[in-house]
Amino acid sequence: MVIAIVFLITNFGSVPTKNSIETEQLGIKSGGEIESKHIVPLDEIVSGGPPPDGIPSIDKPKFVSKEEADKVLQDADQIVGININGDIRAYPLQILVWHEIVNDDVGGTPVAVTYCPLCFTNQVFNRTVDGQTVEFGTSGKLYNSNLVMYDRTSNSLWSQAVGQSIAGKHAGLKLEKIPFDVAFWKEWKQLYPDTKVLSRDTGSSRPYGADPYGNYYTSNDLFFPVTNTDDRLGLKEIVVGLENGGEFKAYKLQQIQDTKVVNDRIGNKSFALFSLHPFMVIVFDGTLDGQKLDFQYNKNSSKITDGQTGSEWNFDGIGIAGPMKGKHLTRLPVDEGFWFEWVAFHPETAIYSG
Amino acid sequence: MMALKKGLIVAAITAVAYLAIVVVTTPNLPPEAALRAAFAINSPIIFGISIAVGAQIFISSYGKSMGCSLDKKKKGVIGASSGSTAVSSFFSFFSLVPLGCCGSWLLILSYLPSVFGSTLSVALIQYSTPLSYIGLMIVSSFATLSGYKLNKELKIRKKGIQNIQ
Repeated sequence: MVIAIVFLITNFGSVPTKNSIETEQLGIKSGGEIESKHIVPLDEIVSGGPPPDGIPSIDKPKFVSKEEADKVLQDADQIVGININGDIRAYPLQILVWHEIVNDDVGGTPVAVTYCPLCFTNQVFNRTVDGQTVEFGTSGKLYNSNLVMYDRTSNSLWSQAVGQSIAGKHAGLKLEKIPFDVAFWKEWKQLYPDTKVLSRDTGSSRPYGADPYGNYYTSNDLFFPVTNTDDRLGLKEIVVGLENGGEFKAYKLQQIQDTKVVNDRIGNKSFALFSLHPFMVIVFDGTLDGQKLDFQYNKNSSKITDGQTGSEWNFDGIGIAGPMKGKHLTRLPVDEGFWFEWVAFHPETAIYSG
Repeated sequence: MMALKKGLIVAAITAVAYLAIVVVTTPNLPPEAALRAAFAINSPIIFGISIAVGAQIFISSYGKSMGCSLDKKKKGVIGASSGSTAVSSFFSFFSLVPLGCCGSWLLILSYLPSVFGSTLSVALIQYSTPLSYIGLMIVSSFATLSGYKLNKELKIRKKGIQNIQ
């Protein structure tokens, strides 16, 4: 045991880093051109401890079938799910927790599937920057206790929570967010039996299946400082955050799950939020072909209909009966994570009250 | 008096060493925040280990000053006690993972499978808290045992002196 501890301690910090990138080179090189470009105070981008790529991203992901995945996943395991052009993939959080970033190509789109366990923020980004496909890695740095990624082309730093470069050549640039689901494996495999699932064969040996964050997700403790705190909701209440034109609003996940459908407006834009399965919240533009639609969920028939045309809609936002049959609502990306994280990044946020 | 001083110093050094590791491995937190967090999460381990190690040193020094030889396998006892201290501290550090997203302890835990294999690593992580308390119990047991032995030896010696008188 003692030998093991010595091994671990002596190896700590000597992780071979991709492209031999040193921390100092990442976006904030002292005296360099890059230093002049940042949109947050540099002293708020702090080291988390590991060097860049100390927590290795998965860059050549392999996938297995639903049946294979069933051998290692429990029904209660959570996944991040994506469906792009019919290419359906699930990324188990039990793998993401050890890697935080998966660089992948889904349905012809280069994506980065990201997870910050501390804030419980999942985000999927199109990893095209300035017309060029880039690869993301973990910088080893934190901003507001949230994962800071770096792109391996320009070494710019990117905040995972907001999907925006915070320092370096691309400072200020935003990544395109791609809609995704957070779901339990049980529901996901039922909804998408043809799903591919990220394999544990990641090229790294990790204790997949063990969550090193323990009971952190459910405890009421927060051990690290954040720039803004707000006690309107519990620290670790899971919220879905939406934004329109600089206005922000948080929706309690539980509230959406309870009502199944929420119609709301932020500024001049209307939104429809559907949640028919635990954790899964899909957000649509509430306007279709210039017509504002209000949706209702009928508990008896378990159907979603709109009040304007009486058309029936499925969970994917497709009209399945009535005048709107065959029409598609436009799906929108969302932020989903702990309240403390959402309000740290968006102090001016409103809260949906129902 | 000297023995007590020694015990207190070693207890303090143990606590300081533990807290120094916390500060070094959570660079994203200001030291005060890191220490506050460490006490909030692991105060029984920090105090328990420090007290047990300090007590062990005190008993050992006191016994020595009284001319007692507590245990013929003293080196083994100290080694096992130190090992348990290290194990207890090590597993208690696992609970520091939530102090940093992609932080030092997540990185360190990433190496576990290369030492213990995946299956054992999963178990070690899942049961890290009970393991750290088992380590603490072992250290405390050694201190208690040493105290008991010293007490016994002193009583025997006292009896011997009374018999001589």
